[in-house]
Formats: sequence, C-alpha cells, structure tokens
Amino acid sequence: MEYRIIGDILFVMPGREIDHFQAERMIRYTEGLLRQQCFRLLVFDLAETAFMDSAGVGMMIGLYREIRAWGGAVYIIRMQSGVQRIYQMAGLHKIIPCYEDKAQFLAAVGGGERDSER
Amino acid sequence: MRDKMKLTMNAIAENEYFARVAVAAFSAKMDPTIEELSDIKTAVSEAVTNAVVHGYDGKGGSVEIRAEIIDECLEVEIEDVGIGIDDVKQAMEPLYTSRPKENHAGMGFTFMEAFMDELEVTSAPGQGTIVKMKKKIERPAALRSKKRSIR
Repeated sequence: MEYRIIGDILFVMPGREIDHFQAERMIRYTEGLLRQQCFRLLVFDLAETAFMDSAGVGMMIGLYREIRAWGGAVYIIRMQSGVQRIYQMAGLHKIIPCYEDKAQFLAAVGGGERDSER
Repeated sequence: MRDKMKLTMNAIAENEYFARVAVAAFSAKMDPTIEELSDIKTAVSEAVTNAVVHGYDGKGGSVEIRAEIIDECLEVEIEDVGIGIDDVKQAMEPLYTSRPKENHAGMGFTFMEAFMDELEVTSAPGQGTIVKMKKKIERPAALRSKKRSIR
C-alpha cells in the first residue's frame, strides 16, 4: 500500500491483492488523509493489483461517497485483467471511470506533474 | 482423479489470503486456467470473509475449509459455527447487506454464484453456516500436460 500526492490529487497504490483485510486498512488510512485535506480527486493506481473481491468494491464505493460529499471524484488507472471482470460485474464503471495510464488520466482531468509532488 | 483436503483456521481477516491461496494451490493439479484460479480465489475469499465478518462478527472463531477433487469437479465447503443467517434467501440477493452503514458492497454471494458453477448455503440462526460450492475444471486432453503457474 502506497500513497502519492500530486497537488490536489491523491494517488493510492493498493498492492497485489485487495481483500477485506487490506480494504479495511486502506479505508482507515485513506479516510484519515481525506479528512486532513480536501483532495479534488482520488485515484486508485491498480498497476500492481492482480486480485480484488467484493470488499475492494465496497471500499471503492465507500471512499467514492466520502469524496463526493465535497464534490470530488474517484478514478482508476492501469487496471489489470484480474480486476477488470469484478469492476464490470459490480457496475463500478458507472461511477469510477478508468484510464489506461497516468498521462492519459492527467490530460483528461486537467492536472499535471508541474504541481508539487509531496 | 480424486483428492481431498481439510483446513481449520482462525476466523481472522489476515487468514482470508491464506484460505484462498491454499484452495487455489490445492486445485492447481486440475490444471485450471489463470481465470479459473482467479474465480476459485474470489469465491473462497468471499465465503471466508463472510465467516469472519458476519459469522463471528469480527470476534474470531474457527473456520473449516474442505476441498475435494472428484475427476473434473472441484468441491469446496466453508463452514463456521457462528451466528448463522436468519434469512438465507435475502442474504443472497445482490446488493443486500445486513450492515448498510459499513463499506460492504453486498456482492459476496453474487460473486460466489457467478464464479462457481453451483452454490448452496445451509444456515440457521445460532447454527453456523456452510457454504458449498462446485466448479468444473475441464481441460482438453492436449492441454493437460502443460504446466501453469498458480498465482
């Protein structure tokens, strides 16, 4: 589990598997960060994630609700095939758009690497 | 081919990973595809998570996992002796969750049903829960000798 902040965008890199155990940890930590700072966007970078079950779906929906409360949005980038089916089946594509890579995502949402990285 | 295994473990969140990987490793001799392995891992993960979160309400207990290979069929049973389910039919409805305030998608049984060929849930209040799942792993004979990774 890794986090990166670029301007007002919070990137979360969950690691190999998102199950109930990992999801609970991630919810706690991410909610803590969201309460410290009003991020405009929350992005799950799933490049390393090969497995996700319904707890991961619940986590994403939960954090989506949280950030939507002040008008923010959630995105996924670099999703792998193992997670793709769950994403479609759970209907996550209706609320969390997915981009192939970071550059494409940043171009679409109007952010950029020029913002200070912390 | 016939084989079976039985595992008993503490119903704690950390063991969800161990449970699904153990069943996936056991099923590897059936020569499943990567996708079939992923199906099995997801279904087992859902059932064990239900035992940890709902069966024992996060307070711990014991989960037993039995798996059996009967020719081309994998049977998996996941049993807890927790609080049980009042209304199994309702619990299995897509998006139903007994705890709407928590971050639950209500898709556990839906995924088990989607990723396995058969799903049977036996439960009663105070009597624990048994989730029985079956999946057929069919391989064309020509492919059977190929080795696959179990990730």
